[in-house]
Amino acid sequence: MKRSLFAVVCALACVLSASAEGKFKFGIATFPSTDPTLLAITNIEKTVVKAAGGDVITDTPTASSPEASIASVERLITAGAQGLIVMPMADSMLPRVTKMCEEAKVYWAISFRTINDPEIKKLVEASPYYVGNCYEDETAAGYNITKMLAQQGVKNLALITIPKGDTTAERREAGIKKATAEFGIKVVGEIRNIQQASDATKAIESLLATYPELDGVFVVASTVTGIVPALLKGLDNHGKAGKVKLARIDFYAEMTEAFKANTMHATAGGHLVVDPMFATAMAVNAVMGKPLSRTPFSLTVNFMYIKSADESAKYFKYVEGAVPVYTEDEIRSLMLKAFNPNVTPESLQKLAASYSIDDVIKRHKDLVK
Amino acid sequence: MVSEFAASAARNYTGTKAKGEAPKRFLKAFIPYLGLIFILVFFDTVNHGRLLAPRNFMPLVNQIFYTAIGACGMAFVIAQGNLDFSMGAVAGFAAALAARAAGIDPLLAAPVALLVGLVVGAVNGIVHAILNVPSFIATLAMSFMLGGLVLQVLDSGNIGLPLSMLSWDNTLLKLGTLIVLLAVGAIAFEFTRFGKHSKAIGSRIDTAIQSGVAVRKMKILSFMATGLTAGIVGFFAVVRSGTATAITGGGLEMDALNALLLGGMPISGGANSKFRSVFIGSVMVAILVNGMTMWGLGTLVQQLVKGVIFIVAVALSFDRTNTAVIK
Repeated sequence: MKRSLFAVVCALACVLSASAEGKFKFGIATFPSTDPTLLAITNIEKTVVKAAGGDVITDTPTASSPEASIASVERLITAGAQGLIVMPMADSMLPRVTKMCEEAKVYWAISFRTINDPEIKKLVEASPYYVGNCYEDETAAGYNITKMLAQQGVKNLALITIPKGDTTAERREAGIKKATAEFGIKVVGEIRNIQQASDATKAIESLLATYPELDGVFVVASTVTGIVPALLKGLDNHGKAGKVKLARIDFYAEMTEAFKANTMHATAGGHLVVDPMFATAMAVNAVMGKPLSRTPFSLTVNFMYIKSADESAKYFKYVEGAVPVYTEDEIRSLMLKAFNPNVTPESLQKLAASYSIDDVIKRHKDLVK
Repeated sequence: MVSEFAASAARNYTGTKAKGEAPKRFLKAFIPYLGLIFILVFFDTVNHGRLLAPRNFMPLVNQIFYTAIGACGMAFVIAQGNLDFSMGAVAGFAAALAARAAGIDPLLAAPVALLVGLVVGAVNGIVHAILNVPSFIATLAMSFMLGGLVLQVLDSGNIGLPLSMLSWDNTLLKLGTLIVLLAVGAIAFEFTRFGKHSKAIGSRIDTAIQSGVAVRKMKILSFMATGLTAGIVGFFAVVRSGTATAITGGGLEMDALNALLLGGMPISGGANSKFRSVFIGSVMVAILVNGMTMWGLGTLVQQLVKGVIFIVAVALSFDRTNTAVIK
């Protein structure tokens, strides 16, 4: 009796473990945050892996730094990941990641970043396990948002950004520099390396005290949750909320309310939920033995520009709502070669180029209530 | 004061022990070993054997390496009953200057990092020992200063190392460095005048002075030891990631302190300080962090667990007869 029971339990365990495990394991670095936008990034990555029939392994880096990212990659590889995506804080961490992934035979892709350093780019792209990167035209975003602020009368602008060395921020700042020169805007202050929201409040109050003529604040890049509400608090403390134009690259949860209250004036974003999706798809194809290309390739994703509460509400309903921006069926048919042999780097790029709120509404108008 | 001293001497040296003292001492001495075995078995089990799998060897070694090196230096400071809250900042500052030096010549990186650590450590020691600023204030202030200086050195960004230095992050070099430091540290702590005098200072500083111990010199040397080890950590951290950033080395002092306390080092220092706590505690911390991550516990839960363990370790190890914790 005991032996029979033991045999049944073993068989059940085998069946359950077999059915519970996917075809492959994919590593995802998550954010230590409950911010809905950051959660949406993780969710879309998981959706791609699930659509492909894989299992997700997650790890949360202890900080937004190259060391923490490298340690996270190491842990994911140790936990059995066969593929992963990386958002590098600096080009100089990539040789280490390349070496680790090569030694472990793990396919990987870069999201949200390009490689600026030519020597590092050559080294990384020579690796057979690096599949490519997905990124946005950051320079255009920096330029366009600054142009929108200029059109709203901004003449003295403060920048909130991240430490130098990050390629995304550098490209955005290059676009801003071009636009400020073209439209006669003066950058009166620059705040880098804000680690928490309360630092942002203090920073803006300090800027207002030093430059009373300040009439625009541009959050170029930030890894801090709640930075915009913190800035608005600082502006409000000086009676400047709504009077000082506020802009940001990257959408955030409270955006619709801010537009309604006229405290937010221009944003660019929407890429947060599709860039990692495409990067994941690129790496997953390789893990499944169906690489889209023999050499690494790049994908460029559009930014969306939002200037009103109505546009913002539509975005959150259709793009970051209950239905993911691409469903599992859409992912299989449009992005995974194992399910559709016609998927190529060119078809993915065409898909990325077509990305817009109208495109999502068109595809999901019957799915979203 | 004389009668207080006599009473203390009587408690410590006449062998009069309260009932139950012996089992308590036995437990205190063996808790670190029992703790190590427990968490090893626990986390290996919940992680289905992956913790001790060969592919986890390097992540564990990397985790142990930085903590153990930091704890090697911190042991002397703790033995004296002091604290050093600047270790992480020293490591970051050393890493930043090492990265700058590497831009001139890669061979300059290591000497610069070590020298920076020694100099900052000496400054900490002088401020504490000669200017009589309590150690936690002196080192906390130093950490704030270095935080600002690092941003100046990095020009508010980060500095990448030459690609040729990638190969310096290798297992043999790390293991060799670790073994040498542990050996030197153990010998210095247990068998040299420096170690014995450090424990004497931690037990009773007035007794140490009256016994002819060069207290100021020992204090300065102990902070130089933590500075040196922080410099070593900073160098290896920047070689590993390829980049020096504003938060390189962050949290090193708490990791080292946690390791020492888990390993059985009393936070009040003194005669009961043992160097073995460096290794035991570092391995425990590495297994804890690695095991929790593998198990899927989130960062916030991990922080909570580390905090609870810190409090328990302090409560168990704190010598209540030596109540001046911070000197």
